[in-house]
Amino acid sequence: MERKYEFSWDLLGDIGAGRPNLGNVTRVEVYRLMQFTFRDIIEKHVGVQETDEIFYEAGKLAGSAFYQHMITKNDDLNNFVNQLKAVMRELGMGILRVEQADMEKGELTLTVSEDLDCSGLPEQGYEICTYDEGFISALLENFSGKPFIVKEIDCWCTGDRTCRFSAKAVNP
Amino acid sequence: MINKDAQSILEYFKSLLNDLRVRAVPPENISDDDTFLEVEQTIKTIRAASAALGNGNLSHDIKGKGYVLGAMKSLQASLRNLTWITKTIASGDFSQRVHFLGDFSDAFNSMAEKLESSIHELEEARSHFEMVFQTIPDATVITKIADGTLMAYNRAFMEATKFSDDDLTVGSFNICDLYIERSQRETFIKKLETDGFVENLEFSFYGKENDKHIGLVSSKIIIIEGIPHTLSVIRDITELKVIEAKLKQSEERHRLLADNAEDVIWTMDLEGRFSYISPSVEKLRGYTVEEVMVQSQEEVLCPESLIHMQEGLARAIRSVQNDLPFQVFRGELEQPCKDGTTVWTEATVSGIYSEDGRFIGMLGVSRDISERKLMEEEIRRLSITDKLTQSFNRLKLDETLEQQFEWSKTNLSSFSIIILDIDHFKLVNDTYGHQVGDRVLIELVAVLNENVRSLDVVGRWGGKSF
Repeated sequence: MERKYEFSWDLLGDIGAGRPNLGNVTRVEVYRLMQFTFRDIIEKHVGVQETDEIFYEAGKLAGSAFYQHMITKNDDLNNFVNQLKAVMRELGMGILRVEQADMEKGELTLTVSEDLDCSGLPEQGYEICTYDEGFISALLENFSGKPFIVKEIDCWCTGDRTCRFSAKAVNP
Repeated sequence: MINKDAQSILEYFKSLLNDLRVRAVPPENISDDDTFLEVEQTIKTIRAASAALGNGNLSHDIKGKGYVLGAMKSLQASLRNLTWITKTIASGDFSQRVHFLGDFSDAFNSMAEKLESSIHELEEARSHFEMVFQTIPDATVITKIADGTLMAYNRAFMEATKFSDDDLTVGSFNICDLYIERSQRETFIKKLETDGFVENLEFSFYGKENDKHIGLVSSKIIIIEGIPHTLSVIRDITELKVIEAKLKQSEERHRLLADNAEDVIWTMDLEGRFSYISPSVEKLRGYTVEEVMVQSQEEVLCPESLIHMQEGLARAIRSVQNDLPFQVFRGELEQPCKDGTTVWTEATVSGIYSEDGRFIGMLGVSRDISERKLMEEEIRRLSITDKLTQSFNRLKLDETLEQQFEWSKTNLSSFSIIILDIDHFKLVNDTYGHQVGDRVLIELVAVLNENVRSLDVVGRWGGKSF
């Protein structure tokens, strides 16, 4: 298939040069406006399940690129978590916390508070952070070299106050 | 006023929220109501979750949705995260920090920083101790007091005992096995328990090849993980002991020689004080060793001899000050005796040097030369005396003339000489014999001696001339 929109980190552009007055910051509403309108239209075209899969996959692509460009490769889990926490906080993506981590078993439980995607959303009765699931799975895969499946088990949209993700390695 | 069912429902929820054991029951006609069931389930979940959180059980699965349960899950998530962070800190990773938990974040992070700096300080102290422990030049070990199990040793210990790292298995090698006498270990432990330390306690121990060593052990009790241990530094004095024995033997031998010698052997420090005098001094001067040890130089030597000795020693000491060897002093000295007489001695004084070549004192040998002095005096007397008349002979008269000429020149004064000869003395010899002639000569000298001043000199020039 001939590609038109293949992602590369360069596509994020030179923001400093391009936005000399407004700078590198925008409001969360703008981010959400784009994500939820995308979700709406895509759902209309391909249905709920495929929309979720697309967002999960897009999250993975983002997570992988993010890891390559924002995280310094290191084999130590604590160091990785520290780097990730710091960069997520700095970029206003959310407050990452580790509840439990057993890399030998390939099991982690993470929470992201003040999450960019869903915090403050009206209660929907379903988890919405599929993009985040894909994002986190790519981060873990890049860190450990093993593929991970990440599932959101608590979400603001289901009435919780923090998003909780359960990550399990496919082949621990 | 509310109706009876509503009252009953409220009583039931109140009991669910407040009572340890829920005895109230909801009215039967509402027990299938969905809203009632949802609220009841939420309260039951809150009840179970808060009990679990209250008991520290963070693995409890909080099922359900909604604001309160969400807040409880958030609290549970924070506590789980704190548990994880605490575990990472416990495993030695101090980089983890807590954020967005208000004052608790600051308190926790301060604690983590303090802990990190304390651990670093401890690490530094441990590393410093390890370095000092390993570089102590004497054998050093840490052992359990209870059974003597070796817990640590340094390189000097290996060098002293010839044990290798393979021999000295920490945790199983027993230091007690090295004691030659078990009772010494018991004495050591007893002293350690009484005083809390041991200083320079001598003991004997085996090396790897059953070679015997003598050591001086100094120990202190240290507590490691609540168990009393000893930190012991052992100075191997085996070679020192051998040298000491040889030195003692040599010293005894020399002391024996000195104590029994006829000559007086003495040593003197740089301040001119005696540091040793052999007992023979009593035979020489009548004073005991103790008496002489406290005598001043004026009491030890007659005035002229003192000057002579001081000049000689000054020369010798000047040599030393000019980085030259001590000039051995030899001199005849007159020394006062306890009975008021004097005794002539010949003293030979040489320098004493320390191992590093410093001049530290003098060694002297004083020999009694009284008899030799008397003999010399007699020889001298005989050499200037006329055998027959016992007056001075020609040699003495020549000497006297020389001296008088010199004196006269110096003082521009005159002196007189009488030379007399006996006329016709041959007639006396021929008439009365030579024996009578000799008597005449003797008588003549007696007459002359009786009639001259004490300063005047009478001598036989030769034959019958005077």
